[in-house]
Amino acid sequence: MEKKKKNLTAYERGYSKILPCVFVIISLLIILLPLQMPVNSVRMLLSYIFIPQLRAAHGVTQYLGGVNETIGNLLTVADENASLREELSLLKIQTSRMESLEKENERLASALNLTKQNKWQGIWAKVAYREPSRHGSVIIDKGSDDGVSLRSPAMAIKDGVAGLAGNVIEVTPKTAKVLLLNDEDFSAAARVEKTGFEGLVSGDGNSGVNLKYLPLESNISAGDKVYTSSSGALFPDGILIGKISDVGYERQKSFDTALNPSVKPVIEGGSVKELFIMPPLKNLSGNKK
Amino acid sequence: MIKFINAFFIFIIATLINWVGIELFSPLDINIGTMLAFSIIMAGILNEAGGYTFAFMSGLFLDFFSDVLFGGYALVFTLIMFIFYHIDDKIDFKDIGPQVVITAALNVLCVLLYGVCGLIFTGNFLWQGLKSFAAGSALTGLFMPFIYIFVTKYLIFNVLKKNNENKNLF
Repeated sequence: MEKKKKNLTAYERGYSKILPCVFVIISLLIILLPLQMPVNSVRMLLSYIFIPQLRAAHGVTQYLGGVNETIGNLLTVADENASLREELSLLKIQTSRMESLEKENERLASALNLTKQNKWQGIWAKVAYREPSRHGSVIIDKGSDDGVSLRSPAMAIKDGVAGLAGNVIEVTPKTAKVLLLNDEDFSAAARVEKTGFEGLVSGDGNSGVNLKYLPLESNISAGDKVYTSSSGALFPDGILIGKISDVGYERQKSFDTALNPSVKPVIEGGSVKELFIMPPLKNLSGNKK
Repeated sequence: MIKFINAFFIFIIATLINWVGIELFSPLDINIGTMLAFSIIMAGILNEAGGYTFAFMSGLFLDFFSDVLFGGYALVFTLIMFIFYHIDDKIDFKDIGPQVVITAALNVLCVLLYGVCGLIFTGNFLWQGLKSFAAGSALTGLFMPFIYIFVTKYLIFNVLKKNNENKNLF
């Protein structure tokens, strides 16, 4: 500023001293003189002149307010997003549960219908546990307290058709283990519906079963239905096991004394969810309608 | 002539920003000294005649939109410029620190002087409240660097920038 002052001319130095005094005097005159009327007129005129600016200022303020709101929204949107995602996950779980319940409802409804139509008596049990590495057996949620006994036959429903599922091999008060018919250790006396010839059904270890010891003159063909036979003293007569899928004539050797056809079971062990547990055969006579 | 047009243009922008400040801060009972901040900046850009005139006109503008003591702000702004021109050589107004401190201090002085003017000419000390006094002065000081950058970078015509190079613009 020293530099600035040094650069000032004598004229400038003069009016720099006088000018503030002039403005102070003008200000004092404005304050002291009765200028209310002209001031009001000028004020009105200025109000008209500055209307665009007032509007612009209002617009800027609105815009700044909008920015403020937008920033606020942006800050809350992350939280909202997280909570909505959580809600969505819950809804997905609920939807999945609903679908599962709907399917279960359908299955149980068809099972109920089937129970009414058939002579079988027993209780329904849900599959509680299934060994991932072995599909030959399942644990059900009913045990001896519910009337489940050792060697109780087990049925299941698939697509509205009841079929043999297996039999109970272990029982505890609250649970029971069911050996499914596709297990290699499973066996049951069976008869072919069309011809009446009997054989022994046993699991092949995968998803199918074989019908063994069927006489050569059985005259069976693919599609023939296979039912349980009461001659085995383990299962009641007339439970559908499946249909013959391959008679096996081409596998047959000249010295074979029996047919060994493959049977596609109605109930596949891997898809069983509910089982209908019947009393063991020795008690059946009292339960039949 | 260009200097006058530029000063008038800056004056118009100053009034606009002043109204924005009023709309934003009046709900909080805070009065920002936008016109004073612009007057201080223009005092450094223009010569003393221009600086005093700009400050006087800014004060008069505020007076036209004030209901009490017409001419009070014009008087106070002229006195503030008088003080500013006397301390101008002792400070480096390019730095943010002096900008904030000096502007806040001059705003404090402005409010007090206006109050005293009211006491002298109307018999009442024109007081806007402690909140407006303290927060308004602090915010005026804090906004000063932004206004300074805005004016010197965007509102000053290039011709004036060149003319002011040898006048040690601030």
